[in-house]
Amino acid sequence: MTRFLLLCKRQLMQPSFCLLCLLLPITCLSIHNLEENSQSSLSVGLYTEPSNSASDSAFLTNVFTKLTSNNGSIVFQIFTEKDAMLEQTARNELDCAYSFDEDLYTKLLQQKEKNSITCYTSPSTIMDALSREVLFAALFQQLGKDIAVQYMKESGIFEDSQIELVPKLYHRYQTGNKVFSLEYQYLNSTKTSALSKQSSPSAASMPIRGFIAVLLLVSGLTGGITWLYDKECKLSVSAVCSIFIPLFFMSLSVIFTLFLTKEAHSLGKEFIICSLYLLFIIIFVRLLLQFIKNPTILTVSVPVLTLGSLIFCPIFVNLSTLMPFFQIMEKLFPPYYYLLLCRYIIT
Amino acid sequence: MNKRTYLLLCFLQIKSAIVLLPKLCLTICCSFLFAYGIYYAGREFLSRPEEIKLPVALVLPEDDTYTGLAFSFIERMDSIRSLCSFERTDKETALSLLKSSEVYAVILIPDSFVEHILNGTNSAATLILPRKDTLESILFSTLADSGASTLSTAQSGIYAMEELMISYEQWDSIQKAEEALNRLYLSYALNRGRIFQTENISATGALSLSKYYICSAAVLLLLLSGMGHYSYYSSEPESLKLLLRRQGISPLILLFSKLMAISGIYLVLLFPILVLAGFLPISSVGGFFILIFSVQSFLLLLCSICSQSGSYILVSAVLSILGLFLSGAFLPSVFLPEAVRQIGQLLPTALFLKLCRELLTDSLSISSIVYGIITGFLFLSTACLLHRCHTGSKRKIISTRGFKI
Repeated sequence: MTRFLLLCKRQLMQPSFCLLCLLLPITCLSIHNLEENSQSSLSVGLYTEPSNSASDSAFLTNVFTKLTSNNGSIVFQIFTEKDAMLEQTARNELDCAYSFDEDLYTKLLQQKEKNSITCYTSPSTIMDALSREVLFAALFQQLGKDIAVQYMKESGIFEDSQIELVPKLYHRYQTGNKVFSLEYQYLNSTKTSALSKQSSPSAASMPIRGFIAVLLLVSGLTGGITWLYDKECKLSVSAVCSIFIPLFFMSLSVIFTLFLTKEAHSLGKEFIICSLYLLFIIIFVRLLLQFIKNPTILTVSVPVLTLGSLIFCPIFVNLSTLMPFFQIMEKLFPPYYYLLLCRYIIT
Repeated sequence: MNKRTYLLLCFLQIKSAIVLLPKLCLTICCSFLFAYGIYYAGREFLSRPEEIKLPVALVLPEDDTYTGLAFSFIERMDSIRSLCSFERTDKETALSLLKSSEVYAVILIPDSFVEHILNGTNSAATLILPRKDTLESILFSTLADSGASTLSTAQSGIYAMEELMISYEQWDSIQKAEEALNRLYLSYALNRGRIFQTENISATGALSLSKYYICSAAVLLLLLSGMGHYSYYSSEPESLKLLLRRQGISPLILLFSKLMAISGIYLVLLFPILVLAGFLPISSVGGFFILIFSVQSFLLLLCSICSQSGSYILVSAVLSILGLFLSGAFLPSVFLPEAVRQIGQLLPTALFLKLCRELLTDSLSISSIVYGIITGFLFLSTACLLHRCHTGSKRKIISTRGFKI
């Protein structure tokens, strides 16, 4: 017991370690607060030549207004000069840009719309396909009533004065709750019911749990490295204690971080997850120590395990659903099991 | 201090740095194995594009023939079939599949869905995603919103026409008109690809997505491979420092020579591989050296802050991963909130990424070179100052115990 307390004291005598444990919750909280009030900045440019036709002009104005007032993950910007827009696309300030034909509205109604919108992309464009879908949805929404009006005129069922009521009816259905809509629910909600209804997301936030999983793994490995150095100095210290001590203090900081950033659901569940993961890391590092006796080699394993965890475990993006190779590789790294525990115990 | 002494110092530092070679080689070999695995998996994956589909669980109401038929039709549509594969199941199984990441999303269709569409009640369908704030959720929900908007547009037009026909008692024409208008709306939606044409702009310094992630991986590797450098960068014994000072070698020169030596080792190890792989031209040797110099000076500073190798490993891991995330190395910074993005640009990791990107696109600017050199020397000076403070405090401790230096 005395030896254990001395080891704890040694760990806490490292100012950088203590500073890290203290600064981690503060840093994560600051980033979390910044994320809550911010939107993403995927920008897309819009441009059209001035049109002589009032209907074409009004149509494009409405479409642009709809797109620029959109609060989703894509921010549309209107440009009055095409060259400036293309320059910004080339400089990667815009992900991509769209140039509309001035008679797009007329072409759409006549169904002669082929190649009426030019999408300008650069080698670093990533979201052109997505922005195209958003753009089409806005375009179609503005065009919808005119398609109905045109059809009714051509079919000769109604007189023009009767058809004039269609836009009003169309607008009523669009703005009311009488058409198809989607509601979103998320498994990781902290509300009392397992699923709660929320709006669609617009910006990615820091994957705190993923970082925590990697951080705890590195803490465990540093404990193992310390034990190997102690063994070289002929100090009689338990390997499990050496691994456990930095893990324990780091996990206290981690639990505090989870509660500060509102990622935690309940103390009991977080305690269970943390305990199981700590146990897993202790076993993992202890097994490593059976094969690796040199602290230098164990030090080399830290960046390899960290890199592997960041790439293969579903910390930023989950590719295992699409690629079987990732399904196999993710199981070799401990952070995968932490994220699995979180999914099953919390949700 | 004369030139000969300095050259001897450099030679000795290079000899010390060579001791790190096996560690570096092992780290780099393992990283290349990972990279090859990802390349191989990616190539296999992309060679069969028809098999790239997002698996989605679909929960339909029980004993609802209409909804089942409607979704059979939707599943068979080419545009949907090319993107998603649907698995029909019950709610509990669907949620379980979502938790185990076997599906990307769950679509819950309410009871009497089709009848509600037909009679205008329109209960909302529910899209369940694992987390709100991930890249997959953003992409999936943006696509789903667009699809829902398109469907609701068609419904609004058809309902508006239907209501008008009902108010003017045109009962006989309703069904025919609905079918015709529905076909018209469907033709716009299914042929929407025709509206667009793509033109590529060549841009200096622009990275494709794959090169973007190669750059991020390279900087991450440079930072993480420095985890084993604590013994190399840590302070010399007092007696040795005294001897070196007598030879005119100040702590600043000592640390500078260490940096130059380790940067040279990295250059000799990595640069030929990158040139042979076609990532870098031979002319970028100077820029690559500056990148390594700035990364190593950052690691040197971290070594000076930490008193033991264990805490150095932890601190360097945390700062590297956090810094790279905020600088947009893991997720393109356009997906990060604006405030976070601005903070990320101020971090040293943003400079490392910028240098790496400019090297990969052969567009290294003078300003980046100058910025890299200044940052490197700033970290070096700060590390030297910290070394002096540590030495000063050690002397104080020894002198209070009655020992004289």
